[in-house]
Parts: sequence; C-alpha cells; structure tokens
Amino acid sequence: MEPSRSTLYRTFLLCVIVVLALLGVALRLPAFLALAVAWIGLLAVSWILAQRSLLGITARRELYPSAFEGDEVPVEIAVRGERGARMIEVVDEFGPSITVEQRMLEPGPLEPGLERRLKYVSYCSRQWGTHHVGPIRIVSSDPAGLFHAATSLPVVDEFAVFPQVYDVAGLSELGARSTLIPHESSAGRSGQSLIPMGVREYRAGDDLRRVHWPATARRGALMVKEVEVDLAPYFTVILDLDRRHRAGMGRKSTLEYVLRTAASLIWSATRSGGFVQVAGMGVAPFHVPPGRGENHLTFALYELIRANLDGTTPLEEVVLQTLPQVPPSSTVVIVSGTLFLDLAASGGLIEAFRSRGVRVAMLLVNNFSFPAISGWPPPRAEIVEKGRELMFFLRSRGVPVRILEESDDLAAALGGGWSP
Amino acid sequence: MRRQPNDLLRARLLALFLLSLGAVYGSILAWKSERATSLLFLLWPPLLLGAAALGGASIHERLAGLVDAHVRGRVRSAAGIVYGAILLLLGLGLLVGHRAAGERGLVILQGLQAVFLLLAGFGRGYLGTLVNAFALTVASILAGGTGAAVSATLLGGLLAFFLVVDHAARKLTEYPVESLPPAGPILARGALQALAIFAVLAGWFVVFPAAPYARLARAASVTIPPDKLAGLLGNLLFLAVGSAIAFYLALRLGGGSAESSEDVKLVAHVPARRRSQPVTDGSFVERTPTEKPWSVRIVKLYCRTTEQLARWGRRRRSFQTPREYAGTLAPAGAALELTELFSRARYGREELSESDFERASQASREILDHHRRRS
Repeated sequence: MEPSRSTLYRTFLLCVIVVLALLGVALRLPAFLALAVAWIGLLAVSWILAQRSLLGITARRELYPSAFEGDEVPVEIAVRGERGARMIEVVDEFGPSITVEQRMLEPGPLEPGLERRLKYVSYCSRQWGTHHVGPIRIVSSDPAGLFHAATSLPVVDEFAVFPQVYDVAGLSELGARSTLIPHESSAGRSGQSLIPMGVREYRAGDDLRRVHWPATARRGALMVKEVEVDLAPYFTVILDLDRRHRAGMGRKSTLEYVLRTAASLIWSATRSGGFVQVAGMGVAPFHVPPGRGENHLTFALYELIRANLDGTTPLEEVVLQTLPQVPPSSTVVIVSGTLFLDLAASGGLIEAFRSRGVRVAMLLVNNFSFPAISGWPPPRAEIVEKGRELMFFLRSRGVPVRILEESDDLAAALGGGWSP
Repeated sequence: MRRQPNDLLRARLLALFLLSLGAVYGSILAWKSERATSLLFLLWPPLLLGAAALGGASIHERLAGLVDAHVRGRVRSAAGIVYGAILLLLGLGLLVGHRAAGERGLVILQGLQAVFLLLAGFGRGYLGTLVNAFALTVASILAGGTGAAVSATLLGGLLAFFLVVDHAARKLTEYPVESLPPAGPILARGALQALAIFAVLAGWFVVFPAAPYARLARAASVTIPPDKLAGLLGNLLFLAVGSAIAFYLALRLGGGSAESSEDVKLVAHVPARRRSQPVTDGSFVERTPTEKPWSVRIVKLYCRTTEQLARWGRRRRSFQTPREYAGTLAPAGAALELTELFSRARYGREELSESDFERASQASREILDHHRRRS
C-alpha cells in the first residue's frame, strides 16, 4: 500500500539521473553531470539512513489470549527504540480477523529507553480455533521516503477463538438455573452445605466439629449445627467424536454442530454455577475433569477447540466408559453426531443412569441432513422413520431429546428447549 | 476524529510552488534574459503559478467526484501521449540547435507548469509538476549561463525538500495518530537536506560555470552584462521570497483555515436510537416490515457506502460481482469484511446482530476514509 508513491519518486529520480548522465556525456555539458551527481548523493544518503533507522528497535505485544467469535479484541504493542527513530510503521498480523494485517504509525521520535504504545482493535471474524498473532513487522524509511527497510520481530502469540455460544434453555429444566448471579445452591433439608439451617440434638456418628457449644451449654446436652443440602448442579457432557459421523463443510457440518452445542452446554452449565466435566473419545481420549467457574470454562473451551471428529469408538461405548465417573443424582447430556444409535445398548445405559438417580438428556445432530462427504446417505424416508423411532424410544424413558438438523439455527434450536 | 497535518500539507504545496517558480525563472534567465531586466515582466510567473496552485486547492473538493476513475485514467493516458510528443519535438528542436523552436516550446512548457500545478492543487499527483520542471531545467541548462546554474541548483535542492515534506505529510494523512508530531523538525530536516544540495551545486557552478550547448550557442543569443546580473538575481530573490510568503498566507487564511492542532471530524457519529417498545393498549400498531432489522441496516449501509464511492469515481461496473468490486477497493480486509456481511445480510437466512452491524460500520468507515484521501 504505502511504498507505491515513494517508489514512483525513486524511479523518477533514477530515470532522470540516467537521462542527465547521458545528456552530460553526449553533449559534453558538465552541468548535467553535476545535477546527476547531486541526486545520486541524495539517493545514497537516503539508502544509508533507511537501513540505520531500524537498528535497536524492539517491540512486545500485550493481548488477552482468547475471545469468542465476533468479539472485539484490543491489542497493544509497546515499541522501544535506541536511536530516536521517526515515522516507523508497525505491522501486526492478527490471524483471527479477516483484516489480517494491522498497520499503525509511530510518528516518533522514539526517545532512547522510552516505550511508546500503539493500540488497535480487531474483530474475531474468522471461525473458532487456534490462530496466530504476529510476527510484528517494523517498516522504516529515510526522511524522503525513497527507500524502505523492514525487519520482522519474532513476537508470535497463540490466540484461541472460542465458538459462539448460545444459552441452552432446556438445561434449567434439568436442575440448573441459567443465571450469572449467585445461585441458590442449597435446599432446606439437612445436608452438607455451608449454609446453617438450625441446631438439633447430637446423634451417634455426627461430626464433633459440628457441635454447637453455646446451645450445648444452655441445654445441658450435646447439640450440633444442622446445614442445608448442597444443590450445586453437576453436569457431565459426553461427546460423540466418531469419524463416521462427519458430514458437511465449514459452518454447516456435524463437527461444527457437535462442538458448538457442547460449548453452549458447557457455557450454560457453568453460568448456572454447576460443576461440569466433559468426556469423549477422539483419536485420543478427550476429558475435561470436573470443575466450575470462569477459569474452568476457559479451560474446557480451550480443550474443545482442539477436538475433532476423528475417533473410532461408538458413542455407546464412550458412555459406558464414562459411567463410573458420573456421580449419582447428577445430570448427563449426551451430544450425538447421528440418529442411528444402537437402541438396545442405549436403553441399557439409560437404565444404568436412572438406577443411580442420574438425569439424562440427549442432543442428536442428524448427520444425514448435511451434505455427505463419504458414502451414500440412506433414503430420506428411512432417516425420518429412524428419527421418529428414536424420539419415541427416548421420550418413553423420560429422556428429554432434541434433534438438530442442518437447516436449524443453533441459537434458536438450543434456546427453544427440548421440544422439536 | 482524525488530525490532519495541515502545516505539512501547506508546506508541500509551497515546495511545489517554489520548485515551479524556480524552473520558470531559470528558463526565463537562460532564454529571455534581455526581458528579465523588467520587474513587471518577472511578476507574471508567481502570479500565474500561485493562482493555479491556490485555485486547484480551493476547488479540489467540489470537482473531486465529477469524473469517474476509469474516465480519469483514459484522460491521463491521452494527456501523457500529447505531453510526450511535445517534449519529443522540443528536444529535437533544441538538439538540432533551432533556438526559435526552443523558445516557442519553452513558452508551452511554462504554461504547462501552471496546469500541472493546478492539478497538484486538485490532489491529482505531483509527478507531472516534477517532470515538467525537470524538462524546463534541462532546457535551461542547454542554454547555459547563470540561468542554467540557478535552474539546476533550485531544482536539485527544492526537490529534496519536497520529498521530505511529502513523505511526512502522506504518512500522517494515511495513518490516524493520537498526536501529530511538530512540523518544525520535519521541515528543518527537509531544509537541511535541500541546503546541502544547494551548497554542492552552487559550489560546482561557481567553480565550473555552466556552458551552453554548442549548437545553441552558435545561434543568436543575448547575455546579461555582469554589472546587471547581481541586480537581476536580487530582484528574482525578492520576488520569489515575497510570493512564497504571500502564497503561504493565502493558503493558511483561505483554503486551509483549520489549525493543525485542531481535530478534523471526518465522520459524524450519531447515537443510534432504539425502537421504542410497541404500544399494547389496543390501538393500531404498525408492524415492522421485516423481522431482520440489523440485516436491513447492513444492506442499507452497504448501498450508502457504494453510492458514496461512486461519487468519488469508484463505481461498481455492471460486470462486477460485489466480491470482485471489493477486490478493487482498499483497505482490502475492510472491503472484504463489509462485502461478506452484506452478502450474509442480503442473501443469508440468518438474522445478523448489532455487533455485525458495528463491524460493517467500522469497515465502511475505513473504506470511506481511505478513498476520501485519494479522491
């Protein structure tokens, strides 16, 4: 962009120097040669000044390393120089944005030892994933702008763009409430939470640390503090990462739908204050240990954007392997990449969960609604029939279910609860 | 808000004015030195050149959008061919030693210098002014004598000054910076570079006076007596300095009245007013014509942007798709982003969000800012 006119002037000078030299020699007029020599001197000095202006310039970037798709990201670059450089251009490559190259001008002079800060704001307009930011390129020129010198500083950062997440409305029906404010995490029944409910007489087996000494002194018998039941919801998200369920391309693909749905589930569950763990089986086991809070959400999303539909283990087997890690009375949400599940095996697993008081919900991505990338899809009628059969099978067992099609808008589909 | 380096912009036009004046005065001294003794005769170059540059600068904004970029390119090509032919004929005339043809050609070049300065005032590039000044200087050097020395020295030095000022002005205009650097040190650097070249060339011509081209020397020519030369040079210097001051004052008080330290508001931001909640008292309520208000806004924004670009000569051709059209715009990233959002808003089924609209607005601002400077 920038050097076009400068190069034009340099070309102009080079051309006229040649013309002047030819005229001076051919017509034997030293005045032409004098002007040519003066301009050759100007070009030589400009070239030397352009090369020298880059010496001793360093830069570092300050950037929060992750954002969601569509977020604005402020970036700060601190530039330091040793020679009082002027008019230097700082070019940063911000990978998550379509506008990859960000150019800024530091008019200078850069006082030796002092740091100057340049700022720009970019958008995460590219799809989720891990992108690179950098390197930083410093472009400088001589005062006349005839020659440019550039150096690339190896200031490269990784930047994670998380998928756009949506509120999953159906999650609150399963025991969690979608709210950012502190949730009611206990119930008025005696349990193990930190919220006191009252005092009662000591019973054998009660923890001595719970003895309420003032009440004991008043009553003359051992009294213990009673606390409420802790209701912090506990979610397990099980992902289907089977490579046989890959279909579609780009934003309209099963990978996109499965991972976006999982991200939205994790987001909604974390916002409701619950513990969340994630399990799946790609080419390597995918596991996010249980945790809660913003840091855990970030960790889970980091893991999620590295996942891929590259496994070979059927979903039923993944669920079976995860079964021991699911605590009783918790909630399991299974995200499948297909409607064609083994109903017999699924029925057994649902019963196993129910026997432990675990609530199960399923989100099924219909991979045959996406353009196939390998093999032929079954006939449309067969897919519709399979969907109906699966819905009936799951609902008859009290499992909330939602089928996601290629034509569905994920925000609306996930925000619309469990009804189809 | 974006700050304009007004001091540097004025200094750039002033440098071009002085460079043109030096070339014209040099050619007068070299070729018509007998008429140069009249002070009245020496008044027309600063008046004509100053009027051209100031006129160009003052009507720049009004004429900028009249001609399409494609038409402009064709006119430029045709003018380049005609100008090249004039230079070729003049060069041949001078090389064969035809003094009369050379004098007539010089008058044309002096007139063209004013035309190029007018175009420079429009903001249509400065290369024409430089090339024509160079042609005038070459013709002056062929004639030899004091005119050749003055012409070569002034062109050599003023070109160096112009390059420094132009580079700084262009950079500070293209990039938004939080605070503009003071113009003084930049101008001083340019002046230092110019003085160095002045000194080298002046020293050269003192030691080796400029000799005329042999064939032109044989033709009848009038030379200034040495006793009148000092007075003539003094007159020229006085006129040049006086006209430069007048030119600068006219620029500052007339066309560019804004102070360099003031913020120039290029884009007016009007806070968006949200649609009020519908009245539910049973009275008639007009329904919104669409359920995708942000998409509609983005489409309208795209249309407004392309209409404005068309006014500046960047019209979308009938054979171009929006994406192909975006490829011709700059900055490339912003153009692509706006086009992508437009395509999603216009042809997509999903409703876009407020943040998409803000992204589109930002991209539109970047494109318009860029092309506003170039128009």
